[in-house]
Amino acid sequence: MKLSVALLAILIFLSSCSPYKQLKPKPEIFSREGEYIQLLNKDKRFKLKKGKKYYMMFPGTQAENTYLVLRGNDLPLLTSHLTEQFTKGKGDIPVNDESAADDNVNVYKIGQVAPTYFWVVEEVRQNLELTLDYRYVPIWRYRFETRSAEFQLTLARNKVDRGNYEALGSTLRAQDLRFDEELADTRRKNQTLKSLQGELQKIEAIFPPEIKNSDDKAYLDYVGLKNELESELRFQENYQVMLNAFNKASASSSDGDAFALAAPDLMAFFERKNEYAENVVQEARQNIGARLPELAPYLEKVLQQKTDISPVDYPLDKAEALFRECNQQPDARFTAAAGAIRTFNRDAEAVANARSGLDDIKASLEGSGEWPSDNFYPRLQSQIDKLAASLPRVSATTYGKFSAYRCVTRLDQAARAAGEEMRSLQLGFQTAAALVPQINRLKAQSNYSEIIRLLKMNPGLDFLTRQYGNIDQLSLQQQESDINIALENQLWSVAESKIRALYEDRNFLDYDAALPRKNQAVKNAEERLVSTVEEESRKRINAFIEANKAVFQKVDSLYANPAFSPVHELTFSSGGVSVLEANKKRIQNYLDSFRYDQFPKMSIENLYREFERNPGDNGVAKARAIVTHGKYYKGTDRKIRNLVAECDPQAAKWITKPTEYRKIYVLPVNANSQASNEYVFKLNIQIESDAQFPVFDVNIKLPREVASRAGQEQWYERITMNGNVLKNEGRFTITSPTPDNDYECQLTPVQMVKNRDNILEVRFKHSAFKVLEVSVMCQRPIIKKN
Amino acid sequence: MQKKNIFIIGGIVLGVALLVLILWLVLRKDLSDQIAIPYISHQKPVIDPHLPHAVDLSDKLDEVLFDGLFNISANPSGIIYEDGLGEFIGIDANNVVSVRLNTKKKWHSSFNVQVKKDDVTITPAQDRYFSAEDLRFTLRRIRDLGSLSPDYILVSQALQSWDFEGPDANGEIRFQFKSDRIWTDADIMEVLSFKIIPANSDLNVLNFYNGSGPYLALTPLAETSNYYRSPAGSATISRVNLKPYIDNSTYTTEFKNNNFNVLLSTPFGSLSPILENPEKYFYKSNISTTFFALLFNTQRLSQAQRKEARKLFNNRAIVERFYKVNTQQQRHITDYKGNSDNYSDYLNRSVFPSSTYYVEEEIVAPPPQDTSSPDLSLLPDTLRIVGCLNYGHREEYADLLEILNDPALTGGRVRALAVANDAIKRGDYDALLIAIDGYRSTFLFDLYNIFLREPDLETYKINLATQMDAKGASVAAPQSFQANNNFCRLDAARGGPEQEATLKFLEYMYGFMHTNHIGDKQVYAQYVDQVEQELALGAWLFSLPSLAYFRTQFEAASIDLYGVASQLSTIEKWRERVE
Repeated sequence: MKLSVALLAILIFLSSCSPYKQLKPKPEIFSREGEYIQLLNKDKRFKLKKGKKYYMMFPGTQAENTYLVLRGNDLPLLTSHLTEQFTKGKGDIPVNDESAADDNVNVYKIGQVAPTYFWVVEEVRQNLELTLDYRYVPIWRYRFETRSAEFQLTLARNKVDRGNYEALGSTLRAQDLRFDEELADTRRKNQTLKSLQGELQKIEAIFPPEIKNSDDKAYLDYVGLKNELESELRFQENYQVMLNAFNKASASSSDGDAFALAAPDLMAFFERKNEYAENVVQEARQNIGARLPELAPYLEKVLQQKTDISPVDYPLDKAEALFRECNQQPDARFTAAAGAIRTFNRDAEAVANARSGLDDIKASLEGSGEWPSDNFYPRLQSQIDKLAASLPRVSATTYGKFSAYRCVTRLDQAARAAGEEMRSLQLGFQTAAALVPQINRLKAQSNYSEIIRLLKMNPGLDFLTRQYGNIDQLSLQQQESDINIALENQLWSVAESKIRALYEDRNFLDYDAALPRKNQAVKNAEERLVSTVEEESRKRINAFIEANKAVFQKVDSLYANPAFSPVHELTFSSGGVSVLEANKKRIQNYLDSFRYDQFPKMSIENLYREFERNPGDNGVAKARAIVTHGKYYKGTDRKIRNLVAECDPQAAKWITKPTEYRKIYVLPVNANSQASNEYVFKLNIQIESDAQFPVFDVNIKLPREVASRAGQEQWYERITMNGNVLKNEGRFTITSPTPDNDYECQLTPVQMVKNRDNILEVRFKHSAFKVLEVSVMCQRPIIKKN
Repeated sequence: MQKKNIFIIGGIVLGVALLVLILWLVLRKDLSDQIAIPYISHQKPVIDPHLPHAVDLSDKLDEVLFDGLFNISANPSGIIYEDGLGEFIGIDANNVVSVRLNTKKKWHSSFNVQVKKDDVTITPAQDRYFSAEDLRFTLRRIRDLGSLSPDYILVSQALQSWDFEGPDANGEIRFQFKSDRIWTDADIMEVLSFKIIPANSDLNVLNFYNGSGPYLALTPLAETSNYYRSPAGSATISRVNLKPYIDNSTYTTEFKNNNFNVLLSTPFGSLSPILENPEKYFYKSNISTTFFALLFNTQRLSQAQRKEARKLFNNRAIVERFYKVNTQQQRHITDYKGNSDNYSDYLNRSVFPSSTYYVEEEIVAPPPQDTSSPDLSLLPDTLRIVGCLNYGHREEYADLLEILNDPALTGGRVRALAVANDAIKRGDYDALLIAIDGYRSTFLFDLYNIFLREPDLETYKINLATQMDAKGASVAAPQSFQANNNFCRLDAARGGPEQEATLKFLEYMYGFMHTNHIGDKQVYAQYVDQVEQELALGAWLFSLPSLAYFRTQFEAASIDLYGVASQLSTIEKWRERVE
């Protein structure tokens, strides 16, 4: 219990702290359609304090198109709104107040969107006891009820006085009536009533289905008002037609042309003659019938003044109907003029139709841009024959006295011109019909050049030529295609001859127009030929290199391989000899870069790797292959040149550092293996020395197999230094390689020429034909006694 | 009667033939199993393995008598080093060279030698084995000789000190080599190829006979110049005999007559027409070791006069006359390179002969001979040139003196005389014609032998005096040049305009001889040449080709003459031809 009291206290406290106070009417609010109900708090009015905020909850409704209407005199003292979501001051979205200018009423459209609506009072301007009624009401009803009187008044005020209408022809003569004023007044009222009709239709549009045919009073009032309004509007429509006819007739009393032109308006009256009183109809027949003779002059005048060949735009039927409505026979003059017009219109339409057909045919010639099929021209022949047959003959007998009128003569000329054109086309179509099948056969063969020749043989067939407007382009494309196919099939000579043929081709329908395109095509084809030749040459040389980089036999012959030449020797360039030579040079330079750089370089690296890995495995052949590759190598890679030098017995191996043994491969120089093979190795001793006269020992560690018999016979054939023979005589010493000194031979003292090549060459013979390895070391000598 | 006569005549013929046979058998010159070499009898070779000598046979005999730790030899591919008193073990990363001493090698004094006429009997005596002390003793001697000994240069450039460690239990000793290069086996063995003498050797003697080489000397039991195969050695031929002759004028005839079988140098160094038969003789040439020069007496000729005097001697004309070029008597020459009659190759233009490293490699570049006419006004009326015919090269001296006297060559201003040695000792000459024997064309060209030799052809003495300079370095003392102790009569104490140049010359000469750095030698060689050209101490005429003849008794292939090494370096390998 105590807890409940505490909770209640807290609730009350919190409630009292809220800035909005809820107003809870007793009895509760129901969302039922009905009349106004006062909002009370147990029979008392709510007391609202100035500066306080309040809200009240209104239930939603299931009915569509329903207004919640709040009415009260205190509303102007409040700032309030209705919202679907009450946010307590954080930004409600108010429902629009559709009330008119009445400050004491708020009208809110509610519906099924929200179960509950909140009427929120944001401001109370003074303390008050709230007087406020509410009402749930369908919108149509609220609108109709609130404006019914207004509608009734509007209808009453805009009804036409029917006095003149009823008096016309009896007590009132047409000429006594100001039709124009009456017509203006009627039109104004008619506009107002149409607006009213629109208002009613809007209300009707939101009728709930169940209201129709009910005995709801408001509904019945609405139907009565609507029927009355429709009756008045129907009268006003007829009345206006009548007033218009009489006004036209009256206005053209001295103008026959205007009268003739008013024939449609006049006939509009007679077409509704059953809607009018008899007196009115009679009055009209009397006034209009009297003027019918004015029609014939007008028609004649129209024909006479017409200068074009379009049909005469005049409602002859209306004019003739006027005669009938006025119980008269058309006069002969009218009949003649009307007949001529009808003939003219018929011929004009025929010529126009023929012209149109001709234009259609010509348009079909321009057509879709596709080339005509074999039956295209036969079909056109048929069409043009029909057109020619439909073309009218404009003769003087047909037009009688109007035959010399300009419009007639022009129509005649137009018909003749169309005829001539048709006959020309018929002849052209006949030729074209014979050519097109040939062309189509040539097209199937892609023989565009022959097509062009055929077309050029028939120069008069412009329409046909235009149909083949893309023939030049196709011819170019075909030639380009042929070139591309030849290139794809690597038929270089064929491709090049086709490029040359394209370059020399002047067989075009429009050579001047085709020339830039042709030149571009030649240029493109040439570029592709060159680039393809270059690319294929590159592929071929790459494949060749990959296949032959490890080859060490007959290396010289590798360089004679066609792979080092272009796959095709270019013989033509549209740019002339200089461009041709430039292209050839570029390709050859590219291939030469393989011949003189990449191929020897790769081969040398590859062979040297193999050579060094196992000199005993065809080492001599590999070394010679490297040297041969080196002959061709023109690159600048010092490493490559060093590798070649390492394998070239004729190349001096550089000795640049003292006291370091340097391995040297020694190779036989005789061509093939013999019982005694000659070996050579050369050193270029380039050791930096401060000495002005550098002198060195040269120590050569020899293979045992070479030096093992040095004690029995001189192991070397000849040793020279810069061409001078070094002998173990004179002041010079050569120590013999022995097992005791690990087969090391010493040459001393070897005098160097400072800053110049110092070539030491050693020649010896050996029974084996193989790669030998020696190690060479140089250093300053000691002073020897011996 | 006729038949009787026939028998009588046949008997006489048979008797004569028998007599001839007997005489031939008795009188024939049997040189089998011996190597017979001629020498000038009053120029006995002086055997000191560590000092050069003017008698070039002296140095050649070093190879006969002595061993080094390693001995230089040769094979068809070049020189080789063989184990001598040492066995090469190896060199480690710290340049320590290990050598096992051959302490089983006996000194020649380990044998008793008995000689009865031509019979030689060698029997064992008390064994005297080679030891480390012998080696140490030898090293100290070489060190003390300094630049007088080529071995000093050889060893000093390699060893950190003049000593070694060991021997250890294996008999191995260790030398600490310098660390400034890679020491190859050949270099090491070359350095250690100096000849070793026993530790008890008397250093005051002129000749050293006790060696361990392939031949032992028969001295004093027989002729001083006879040697016999050491029982401890490996020589093939039993004896080496030196045959005495008064001069070289009969050498070729004597050789032809089989009085000796090895002629190490022919007169004029030329081919001999009488030794052309290849069935009997073969020859081998090597690099020159003798050159002729005119050494000016600086006491009698001023510097200017010496310069003018040089112009008197056109060495090309002299050589052509010397070899009788373009005459029927032309003396033909050949060299080891295969050139023939290339006389101009032997012309010298510097104190360094053209065959030496220094000229051949253009380290020194002597100017071409001045062919302008000499200013005779500067010269004395007669230029007295002397030569002594008694100390070798008689033939060459005689011809040269005659040539120099030819007015057509020397303008009549020269009087060339053959004189006795005393005249030379007195310095009674304006210029001395002299043959410098045994010069080396290697780095070790010997300047002392030219400029510091006692002016007495009978003795060989180098008058080098050294002293320490302010930095403690050894330098040549001025007293090395005294007027009476050198052929040029140079005197460093003599005042005058030449003194400074003379001292410079002495400094450079010593520097050249003393240094063991090649670069220094090159520079000093240039300085020596330049100062000598300025001082004009001599006219450097030409070198003599070196040509040795051998009888075909020997197997030619067994005789290797190589480079500047002694012609007898491989003597132990010489062998007789087997028919």
